[in-house]
Amino acid sequence: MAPGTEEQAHDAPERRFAWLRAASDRVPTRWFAGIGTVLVLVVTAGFGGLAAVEAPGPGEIEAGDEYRNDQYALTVERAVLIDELSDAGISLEEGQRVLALVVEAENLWSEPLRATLGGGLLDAVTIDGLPRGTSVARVDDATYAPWMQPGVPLEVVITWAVDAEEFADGDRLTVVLNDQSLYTASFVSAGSSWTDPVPAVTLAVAIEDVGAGADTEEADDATAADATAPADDTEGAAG
Amino acid sequence: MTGRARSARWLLALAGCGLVALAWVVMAVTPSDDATEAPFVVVSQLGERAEGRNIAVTVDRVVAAETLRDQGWEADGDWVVVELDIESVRSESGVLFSWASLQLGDRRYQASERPPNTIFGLPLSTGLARAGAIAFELPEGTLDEARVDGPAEAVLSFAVDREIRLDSLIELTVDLGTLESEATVELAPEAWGDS
Repeated sequence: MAPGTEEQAHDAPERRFAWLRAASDRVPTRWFAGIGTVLVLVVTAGFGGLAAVEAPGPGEIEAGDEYRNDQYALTVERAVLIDELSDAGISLEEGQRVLALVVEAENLWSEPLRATLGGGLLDAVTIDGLPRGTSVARVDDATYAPWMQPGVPLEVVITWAVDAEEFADGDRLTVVLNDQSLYTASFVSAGSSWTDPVPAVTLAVAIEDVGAGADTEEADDATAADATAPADDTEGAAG
Repeated sequence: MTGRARSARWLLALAGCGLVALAWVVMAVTPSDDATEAPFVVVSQLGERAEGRNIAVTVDRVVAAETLRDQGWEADGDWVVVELDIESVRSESGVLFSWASLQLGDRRYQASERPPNTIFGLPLSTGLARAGAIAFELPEGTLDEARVDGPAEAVLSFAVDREIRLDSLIELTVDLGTLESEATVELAPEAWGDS
């Protein structure tokens, strides 16, 4: 009597879960890989499938908007085309003119930075389709290749020597503002520097042809006095 | 027997602790990597001649200005003008006044190259001091803030090379809050002074 009940007690759980085993035996486990793959494909198809995704490109801002990164605060104010601008330290060959960007810049780093050295403004502000700029000069006192003290904003012209026929009044330029990374040297070399410019934002700006070099001074003065109102327009309105 | 063994164990533990403490002391007094190439700082006082390896500087006056004028050139801003005598000591060939710096907090400002008669960057002579002025352009509001908020210690430093590691660096600490101040300062003309 006693052994029989014991046996029943042993069998009971096995019998209770027998149906589970029977059911799991019927599950086609070798289809699992296939079902999983299809599931992944179906789900990813909802997000654009396996098509190559474009890396997020540089954002866009407008001329006059300020762009800030760890190194600089930059505002591209306008672009001018001038016959010559020797004050800014740029010399031209026959048939060339000066393309100049007027930029308000502030060094946000803790050390002084020179506008024309590596990590300077020539690397931070570039124009799509043109090589690195030629020179940088202050607008107010024409200091060539100025040093930028931390936290002291300054207005500069960044210049390119371009073929006279290449650009005309009203053409739109794509200006690229680049982020640079702070590299701290170790081992053999020492010091910190900004390197490796990567496009961060672009902005479109229309070129304004200010004609001969003689007008340059006026254009620059007008810029210093009122960056938003070009000299020609003000005169036109007055007359 | 057991007593001696126990005391030996205590001794070992004590020695172990002592070694840990010693290791901590060694770690604490070990100079940083930078220290092996740090400049040799010569601390200077206003009006006092300070001499380093190849540089001797006497700072005569430090003055704050809202407008800095230098012949035809003029600029508004927060200027700190430093009038000084500077000469080289050992050699003068290729020796320039290449380092003039004002450290305020974690920011370092370099003497401005804008005023035409600044002596920053000029060649130095041995035994014949160059007398003149340099000026630092600080962010707008720095001087006012220093006057209102109390002590703002700025460290001026001078050297004959932009590479200051392992060379003499003349330092002078000034308080921007209590600095003599003028609305307009005319940059002192450069001259050859007494050594």
